[in-house]
Amino acid sequence: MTNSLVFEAINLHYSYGKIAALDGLNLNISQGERIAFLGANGSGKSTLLRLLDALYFPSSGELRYQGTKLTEELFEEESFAFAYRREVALVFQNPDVQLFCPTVYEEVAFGPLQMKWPKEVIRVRVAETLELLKISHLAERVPHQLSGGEKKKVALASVLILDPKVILLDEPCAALDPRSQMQIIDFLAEWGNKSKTVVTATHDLHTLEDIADKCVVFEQGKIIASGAPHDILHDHDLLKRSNLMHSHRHRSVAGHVHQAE
Amino acid sequence: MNVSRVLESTLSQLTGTLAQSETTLKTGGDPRVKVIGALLVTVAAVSVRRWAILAALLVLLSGVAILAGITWKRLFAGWAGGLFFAAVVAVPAVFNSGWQLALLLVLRSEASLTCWMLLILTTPFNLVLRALQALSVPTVFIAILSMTFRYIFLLVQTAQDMLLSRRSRIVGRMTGADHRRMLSSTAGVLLGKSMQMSDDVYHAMASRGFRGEIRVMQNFEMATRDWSLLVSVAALAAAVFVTGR
Repeated sequence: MTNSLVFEAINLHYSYGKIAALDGLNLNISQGERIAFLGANGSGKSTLLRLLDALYFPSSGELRYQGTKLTEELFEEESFAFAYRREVALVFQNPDVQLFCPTVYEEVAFGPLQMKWPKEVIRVRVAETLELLKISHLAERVPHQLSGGEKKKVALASVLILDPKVILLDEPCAALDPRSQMQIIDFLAEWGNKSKTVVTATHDLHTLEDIADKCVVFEQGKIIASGAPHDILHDHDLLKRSNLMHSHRHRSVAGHVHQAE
Repeated sequence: MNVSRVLESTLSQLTGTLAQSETTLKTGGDPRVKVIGALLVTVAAVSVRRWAILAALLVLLSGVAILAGITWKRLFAGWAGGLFFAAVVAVPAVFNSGWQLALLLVLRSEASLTCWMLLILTTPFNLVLRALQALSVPTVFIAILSMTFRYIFLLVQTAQDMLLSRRSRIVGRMTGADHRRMLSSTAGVLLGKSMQMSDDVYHAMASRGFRGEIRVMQNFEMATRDWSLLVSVAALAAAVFVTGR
């Protein structure tokens, strides 16, 4: 596994029944790259994340991870499945589906336990990971009873304990208050010291430059543009076309109404 | 009180009960012994034909439950649920075979229920699953139980949110027919959502390496206390079985 190309999507198609979610996608993601998938709802971002996490498999086309073509058969082999699950981790948009254990401690320990790590190692790693995200005080709490920001941090901890090489984030700041958003963004900006690959699906243009070095814009299962965050953010026509920006009215302090973007 | 209010209130109580069930009482003990004990006592209880023996068993189990820290309120809530289902069989039995048989049926179900409440409320659910696995229950069965437990919280929460959002958009009074129509359409949408959600929960587990086998941090080791408990429960079940026939 020495290929610096982490993921390689070649003419990738995926459909839900007759509805095409990804339509002939070609994309390369390199090691250490911080890439953001932008697009309106239903543009195919989340589906692609699930394909990258090998939860779905392509209807046609190829998806390669470090040169190896990902297939369902390959994941039947426990050794490959565990190695992949350890190296590639997904944080779901809705933390409630990801938090299913009775306590935060067990939630964070869940992944390593499945991968048959020694229990002594798991205890040490759980303590370190909780400390890393500053949530040690939540260890014995029930995940369902946490606030949105805390749930997100626990969801993040539950995959970071595996020390993945690639982390896939589906709307990491959705429905979070500004403070929790910034805590997550700050953490992601510093995490891994640029050696990790971070793939984020988001609508949030404000945090784009903090979390990505490259953006890919999706529309109806196809890539319609890619480039540096600065370039994408200044292409207003592109952002409007992909429903990421729209003209709307602002009421100023003086009570005047004006158009803004 | 209209149908949807009743449903909302039921869902709200269910959420509370489920939330409480996550914080089980820490009584210790090997969960395998508890599972085997619950099975033995249940088998003995359903074989009993004398209501006085069942009543004595129920009193004994209730005493153990109280000693284990389960509140009367919780016990009564469980019994009320059990009574509802037992009544379906017991009420016709009153007219066909007499009150003694009806009483026997109710006591059987309540004694068995108390036994399993004792297990579930004093043992974290993942340990119960791990114990079932250690007792060679098929993995598929355990995986289904595991998924159901994780997913039921989300389902109840979603149903509650849907009913609440519906209520916030209703102006004026609805007829009984309107309520029934609304509930049936809500049930349909909920079914669709629940399928999506069950998919998501499974994917979230698979994404972190879950392959159908339950693994927990605790190691199971039979201590003297566990052997004593196992022998005591087996003796109790045998006594109930013999005296109750």
